[in-house]
Amino acid sequence: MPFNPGENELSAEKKSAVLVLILFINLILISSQIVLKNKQSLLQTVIANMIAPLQITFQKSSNFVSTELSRYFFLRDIFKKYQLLKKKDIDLKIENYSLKQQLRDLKVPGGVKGKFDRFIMATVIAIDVNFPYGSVMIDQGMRAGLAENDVVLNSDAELVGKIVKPLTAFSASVRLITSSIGGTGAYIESNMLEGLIKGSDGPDCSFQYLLANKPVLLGAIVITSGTDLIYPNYLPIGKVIKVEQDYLTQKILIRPFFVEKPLKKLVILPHE
Amino acid sequence: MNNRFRNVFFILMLIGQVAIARYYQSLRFNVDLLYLVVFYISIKSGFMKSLISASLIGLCSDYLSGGVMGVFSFSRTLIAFFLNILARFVDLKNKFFIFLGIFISLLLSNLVAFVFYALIFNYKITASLLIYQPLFTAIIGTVILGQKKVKSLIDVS
Repeated sequence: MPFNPGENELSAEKKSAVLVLILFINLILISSQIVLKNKQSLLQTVIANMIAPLQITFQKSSNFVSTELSRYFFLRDIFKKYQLLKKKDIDLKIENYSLKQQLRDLKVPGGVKGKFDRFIMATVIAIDVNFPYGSVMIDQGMRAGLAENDVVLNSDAELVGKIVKPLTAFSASVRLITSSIGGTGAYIESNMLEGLIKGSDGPDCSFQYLLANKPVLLGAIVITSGTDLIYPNYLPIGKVIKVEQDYLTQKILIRPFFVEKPLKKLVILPHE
Repeated sequence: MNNRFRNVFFILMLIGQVAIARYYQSLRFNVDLLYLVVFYISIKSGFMKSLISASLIGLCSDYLSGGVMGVFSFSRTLIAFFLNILARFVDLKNKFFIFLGIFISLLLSNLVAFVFYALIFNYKITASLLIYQPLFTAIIGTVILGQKKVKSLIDVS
């Protein structure tokens, strides 16, 4: 068989590539048997050095992804929990408010409960700082069934005033009997001497047009007469603190009961 | 006829080298009969065949010598490459050139192997690898390949 170099001859580049490939395979084979000081073969070390950056990158990437994922799920759960807790909080607040209201109703004084069949409990939410004896604001309004001229008592069923405008769905204004506007028909309980009580935006009220024919003692109880057609009769108003004789009438100062008591809880008697 | 002769030649060389490795271990670095096969294939065959044969026969040499796998395979492949290129420019009908070709190529091949053994693996290689083996192998190769019939087969001029 004569030698024919032209037969199936590869290009120089391909020859070089084949040679390099075979030599490279041999070198890998040799390197796998070179044991380094770290007790690993050269091939293992070379492969480890080649793969290490990839491995580190992969590890860091996977760590990053897993951290972010766990954070995402954690935060997602946290947000859900937060929403649930918020809802629970609102529910509890509503329940608390409702229970408080029930408790407040339960704490209604026996006097009021016995005297009146129908009444509405309310709380004072604002006082006019310029005229503290003029009017106050309460937390019940038309929604609770309040109307203008409804009678307002304190927790001991003593007269405080009446509902006036402004009257909204959830609030109402109470004009106190100590207000300088308006008046209240009243008796001196001991002798049934009738007159008109008028306020002066101060803590005391005065009897108007009270005849001097019957003596009035200090400390006498004053009650409503019902003649003003606003307040029902026999509601305690206050007591006489000062009596001054005049020509035909007598000047009497009255200190309403509610003035000397905390004005927080009120009882409203709606008109029939 | 040529193929039969070639196959018989290859088998004999293989058997001879295996026998030396098994029964005459002291001589295993003194003569390399398998290199004659590499030499023959490199000057007679094409590029791919030469390189692949040299690589595989080199692995056999590694195994039989008990050394590090891949060293002789590397060196034989490298030499087969050069032999394959240079064979066309050398008159291999001349026994002297056959001797010289085998001797120098095996010397260079073993030199490459020696670099691996000595420098990387700290093996102490005696003169047998660099001198005796090329010399004895070249003598045996010249005797075998210098015969008239064989010379006619390896005529690459």
